[in-house]
Amino acid sequence: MAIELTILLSALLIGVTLSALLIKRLVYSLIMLFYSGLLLGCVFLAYGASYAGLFQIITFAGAVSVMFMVILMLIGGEPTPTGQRISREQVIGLGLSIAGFLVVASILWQFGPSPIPVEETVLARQMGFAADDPLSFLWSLRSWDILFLVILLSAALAGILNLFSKEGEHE
Amino acid sequence: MIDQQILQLTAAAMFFMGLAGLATTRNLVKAIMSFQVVLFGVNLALFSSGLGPNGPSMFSTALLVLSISIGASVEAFALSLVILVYRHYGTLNPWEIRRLRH
Amino acid sequence: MWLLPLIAVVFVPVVSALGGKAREWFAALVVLLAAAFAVTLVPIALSGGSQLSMAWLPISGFRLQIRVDGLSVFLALIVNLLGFLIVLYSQGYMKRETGLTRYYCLVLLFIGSMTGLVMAGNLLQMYIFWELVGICSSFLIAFWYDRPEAVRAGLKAFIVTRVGDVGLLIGLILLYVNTGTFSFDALETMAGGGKIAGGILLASGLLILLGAMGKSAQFPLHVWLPDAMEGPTTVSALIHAATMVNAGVYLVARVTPIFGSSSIWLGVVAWVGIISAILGATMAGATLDVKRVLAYSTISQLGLMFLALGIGSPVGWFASQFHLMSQAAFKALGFLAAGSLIHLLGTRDMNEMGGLGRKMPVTFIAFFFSILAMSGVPPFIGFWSKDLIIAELHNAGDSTLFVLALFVSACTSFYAFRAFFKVFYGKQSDLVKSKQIHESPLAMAIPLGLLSIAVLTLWLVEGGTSRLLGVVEPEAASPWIYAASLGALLIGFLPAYAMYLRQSPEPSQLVATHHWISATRNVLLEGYGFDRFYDRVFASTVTRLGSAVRLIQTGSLGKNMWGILLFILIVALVVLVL
Repeated sequence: MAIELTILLSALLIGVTLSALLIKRLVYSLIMLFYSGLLLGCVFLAYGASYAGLFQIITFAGAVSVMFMVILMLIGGEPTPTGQRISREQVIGLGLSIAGFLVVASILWQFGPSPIPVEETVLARQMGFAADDPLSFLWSLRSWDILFLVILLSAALAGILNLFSKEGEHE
Repeated sequence: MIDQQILQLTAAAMFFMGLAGLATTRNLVKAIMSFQVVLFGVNLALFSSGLGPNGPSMFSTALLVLSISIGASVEAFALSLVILVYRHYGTLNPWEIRRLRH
Repeated sequence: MWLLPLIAVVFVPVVSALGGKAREWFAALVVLLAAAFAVTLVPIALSGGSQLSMAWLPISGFRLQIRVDGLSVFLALIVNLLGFLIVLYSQGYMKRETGLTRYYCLVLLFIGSMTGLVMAGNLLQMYIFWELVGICSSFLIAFWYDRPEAVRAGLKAFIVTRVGDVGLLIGLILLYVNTGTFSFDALETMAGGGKIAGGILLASGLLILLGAMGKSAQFPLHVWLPDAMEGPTTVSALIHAATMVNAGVYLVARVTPIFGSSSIWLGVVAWVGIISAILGATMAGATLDVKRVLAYSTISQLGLMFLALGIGSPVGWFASQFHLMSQAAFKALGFLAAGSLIHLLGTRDMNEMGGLGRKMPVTFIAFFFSILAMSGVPPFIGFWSKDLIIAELHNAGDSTLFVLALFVSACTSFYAFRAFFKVFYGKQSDLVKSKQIHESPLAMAIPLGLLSIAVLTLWLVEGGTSRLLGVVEPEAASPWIYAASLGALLIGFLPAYAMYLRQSPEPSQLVATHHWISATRNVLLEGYGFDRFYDRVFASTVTRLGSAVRLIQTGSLGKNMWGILLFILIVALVVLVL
């Protein structure tokens, strides 16, 4: 992965997202958000994580954006009235986040790249049972366990349905 | 691994951009969009932490997929709440929506 | 099997779909089965007991331990048998109520968790059930949740017992950190071998005692029990007479082998007991609510049990458990009889009752037996159990406690007979005349009858009980002791007889003419001012703190985000600097 590609993609990402947040008309803002999601998916794809990238594009740039569009149709995307000055509270919020970003960025810059995480040693031994007493057969008979649980859960479900179906009555 | 660092910085930038958007916006739908931007930052950070010399590790990709799906569902739920809020309060300005009983 | 009622809780709403009757029979059947199972455990307990231990969370090393020994089976029997009788009684008492599904769910959950509590083999497991029992109790007290007093009483019960629970938790953890185990067996051997440091032992012992005090309504955490009478009477009988309040006594009895070597601890137990006993006995003499009399009486009797445990000898230990059983029986009987009155008359005020003797024979006999047992008239079981405590006090040589216990005995018979005479003798009040007085339905009468017989004959099982609990059967005390306690009984009985039966002197006249009598009465009615003190010191502080914190809670999104951003900033700065 050439480093220029990374820098390009990152810069584009930041730019697009920034415009998504700053544009006043909601529909255009939404389109920019869609592009932002698409770009992020491309970043994932560029590094070879095909599954993750495709998944990102399908959900965020697909489903979620459509959902937003529907909501906008329901609510009506009138732009917030222009000419409103930036209020004092907004400045505070903005200031705090910029400060936070600077601090976190300096942390990241100092610490360098993180090591590769530990791979698949899922702690399988924790799934096993210590058969250290003669009555452990009660626990190793998983079939009874599960059957019992199923019965219990279905009884609970039936009970809840029963309780809520009598909403009009005294119970 | 300079690109890992660049990506992490971008992730941090997106995260804080989203938070700033949440803190300053005057429209609730914009707030949910900022929340989505935060999620982008988080997912990118997740992804970039798992970058190795042969590309991203299995573990981080799995977590990434999980995070994407959870984020999408939370957003869907939030949007439906936004509709209800709009019906109840008549406005979408979070600075005006402050009391539960209007 | 022991957890049967717990499991059955889930099925109650299902069964209730079949109709009200099915639900009630189902509940009664479940508890009966649990009681039967408890009975089958008796032979195991008699042969030395056993412990069932299962790996629960293998990672953490906590084990699920079911302990079957004399004490557990004894209490499990009491809980389940009385539970069965009370569920049976509920069929008649709660006939016209709504929300019965919730009621039976909670009652079954309660009986199940109480059984789990007494059969737990380690402190952590017991604590889990302890909490469950507390929650059920609060929900049941606030059963009629559209009445604000009931809700308030339920909350009060929960909060006050919570104070005790926190103490219990801290004591548990302290013990665990220092010994590495929760299990009763292991703790007993360690304490016997002197492996627990004295300071730790005393500290954790006192904290665990705090938990027991909360649950059993001892001084100073006794304030929730009188108010808990807002719940249905069956709830009062179940929770506050027979089972939950015994949980505290059970806990102290269970940990006595661990902490009993510390005489300071024993002393604290005994004095907490006697103070509660005196408080309860005196307050019961002034109140006008028939259930409150029984509630204060419960506090007092539990105090006697704590006193017996605090003596430290095996006979004292046995005496406390024996008195537990007898208190459970006669108090449950008393509550059920009172319930029968309340069910009919719709009021709890004793001034509005009167002259009911002839019209409600079964209730009359039931209440009468309960009163006799409470006062300690032979051959009712109250006599044997209370005298065992008094005799043991004398043997231990502590004369202050002995005299105080006799004083409590006198007060007990006074308030008991006062209540009895007020309700069943005297002129019929207007309320009584306006209602059609008849006896209670069969579902209510059967438990009353059974318990009355039990109260009369339970002394026969004293030998069996002592064998079950693994204690040598105590020998009879010297006749002087018996004479002393009977004398105390008479001292209490005579004023009650004079004032409330013969009406000479009339109590209201006494109050009007003698200033010190009315002053005492006011103090007693106020409950010695405990409620007011707690309210001023604790409740108002919390409310004021709450109003102060309210300032942070603006509703706007942006301002909340400031908080989040600030936090991130601070954490990032800390990480940067370090």
